[in-house]
Amino acid sequence: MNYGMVIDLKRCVGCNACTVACRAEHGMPAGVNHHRIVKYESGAYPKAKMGFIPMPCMHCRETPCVAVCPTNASHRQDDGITLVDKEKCIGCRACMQACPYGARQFLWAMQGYFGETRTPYEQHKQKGLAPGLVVKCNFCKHRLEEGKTPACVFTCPAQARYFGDLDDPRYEVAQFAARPDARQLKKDRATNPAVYYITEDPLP
Amino acid sequence: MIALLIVVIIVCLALAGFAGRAFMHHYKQGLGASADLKDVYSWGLHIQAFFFFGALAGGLLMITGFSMLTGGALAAAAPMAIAAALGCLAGGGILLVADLGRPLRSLFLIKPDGNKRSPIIWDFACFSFCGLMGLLFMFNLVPLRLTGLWAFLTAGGGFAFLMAHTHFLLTREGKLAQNPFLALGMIASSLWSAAGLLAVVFFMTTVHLGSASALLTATGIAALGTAIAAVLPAPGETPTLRAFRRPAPGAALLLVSLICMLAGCANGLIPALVGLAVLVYTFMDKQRQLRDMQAEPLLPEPFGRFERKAEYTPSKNEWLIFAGGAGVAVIAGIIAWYIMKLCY
Repeated sequence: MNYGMVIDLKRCVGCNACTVACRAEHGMPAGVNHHRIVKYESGAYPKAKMGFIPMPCMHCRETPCVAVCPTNASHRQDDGITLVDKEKCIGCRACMQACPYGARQFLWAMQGYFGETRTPYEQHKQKGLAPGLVVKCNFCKHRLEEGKTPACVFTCPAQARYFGDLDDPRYEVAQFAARPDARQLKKDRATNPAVYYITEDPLP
Repeated sequence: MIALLIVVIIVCLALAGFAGRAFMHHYKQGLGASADLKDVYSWGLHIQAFFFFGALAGGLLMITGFSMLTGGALAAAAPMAIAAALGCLAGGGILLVADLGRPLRSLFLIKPDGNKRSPIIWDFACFSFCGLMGLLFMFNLVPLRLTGLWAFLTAGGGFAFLMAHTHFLLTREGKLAQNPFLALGMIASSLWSAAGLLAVVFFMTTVHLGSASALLTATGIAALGTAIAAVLPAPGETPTLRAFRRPAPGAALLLVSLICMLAGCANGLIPALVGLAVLVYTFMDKQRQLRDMQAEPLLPEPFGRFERKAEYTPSKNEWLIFAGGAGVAVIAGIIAWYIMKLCY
C-alpha cells in the first residue's frame, strides 16, 4: 500500500475549493492551512497566462522531514502517509526547515477563525492541539479509515484530483502517475513525492 | 575587582529575571505571541544565539584541548577557557530550550529512542559530551595521567559539536553543494570568536596568559581565508566587488590584530576591543547564515512570485530572552571559575 495523489493541472481552475474543504475538514486555527495553491504567471502579453499548483504535503518516499525529527514525532507509515505525532513533537521546527515544499505549519498561536473565542466546531476539531506543535496534511487519514477519499479530492469541482494506492495498477491514480506527462515537484531534491501533477508546462 | 564582579552578577541576574518573565509569556501564550517568526522564517534570534554560544564553546574547547596536547602557552589558560566554555554551553542550552514550541518536552531529547539520523540529536549529544568534559575538569576529576586523553576528547568534542552545527544548517538540502566551505568556515570562525572571548577575558581578569593578539591573528587568518574562499566566484563566473563586502569587516579586524601582534601588544585594551569586535562580527555572521538559509524562496521564479516573503525582525521578547541567556552564560562562567578555584 502506497497512498498517492495525482493532480491534473490541465483541469485545475485554481478555485481553492480544496483549501477551503481542507480547512473545514480539519478545523485548524486561523492562519494555518494544510493545503495551499501556488499561483503564478507565465508568458508575456498577449500570451500571458496564470497557472496554479495545488500543494498538499507531498508524502515523499524519501522524507527529509522524518530524517531530521529528533524525537521520531514525524514518521512515515507503511501506507506511505507521513504524520506528526503531536504527543512527541517538541516544536523544534527542524522538519519545517527540511521540507522543500513548505508543507508544514507551526501552531504559533491558537487563534479562532471568527475571533478570540473558538467555536464549538473548532474546539472539537482542535482537540489535542496546542501552540508550539507542528501540523501538516495527513491525506485525511480519518476519512481514509472510513473508506472515503481526502476532503480535497472529494470536493474538487473540476475533478482534477485522483487518489489511491500508487502500487495497485487497478487504481486510476496509479495509471495516471505512470503517464509520461505526470511530474513530481522538485525532482532534483530526490524526495520522490507521492503527489504527481499532470501538465505539459514546466514545473519547478 | 570584587565590586566590578558584584555589579556584573547583579546586572546578569536582572537580565535573567527579565528573560524569565519574557519566557513565561512565551510559555503561556505560544511562541507566536512572543516572537516575530513565521512558517517561512521559523528560526530566529534564539537559534542564532544558540549557534553563537555553541561556536564559542566549541572553539574554546578546541583551543584548550590542542593547547594542552601540544603544551602550548595557552595551556595555562585552560581553567579560564573551560569556565567560559561552560558558561557558553549554559547560555546556549537555555536559548535552545526557550526556542522550542514545547520547552518542557526538551527532556524527550535524552530518551534513548531518539532519531539517530537527526542532526539535533547529534548536536545534543555533542553538547552533553562537551558539558561533561568541562564538568570533569571543573571538579578536578581528571587524573593527571589521563590529562592527554581528556585534552584529546575535549578537542574532539568541540570539533564534533561544531560539525553537528554545520549539519544543522544543512537541513535545507543543497546548502553544502552551494557552499563547500560552510563546515570549514564554521570551525574557523568558532576558533576566531573563541580567541576574541579569551582576549576579552584576559583583559577583564588582568590575567595575561599567552598572546591574545597572536591567537586572534592566527585564528583570524583561518576564518578570513575560508570566508574569502566562500565568496570566490565559481569557474567561469565574473568576480564582483560586492561579494567581498561580507568578509571586509573581518579583514579590518585581522589587520588590527596583526598590527597589535607586530607592535608587541600581546594583551590589553586593544586586543580586548578587537576580541569584542570579533564576537560581534561572529554573531552577525550567524544571523547572515540563518537568513541566507531561510530567505531563499521555496519555489523559484515565476512560481514563488506570490508566495509569502521570508522577512524577520526579532521582537522585544526575543531580545530579552537572548539578554537573559547571555546573563546566564556570564554567571555560569563566573561560578565555574570559582568552583575551579576551590577544587584546585
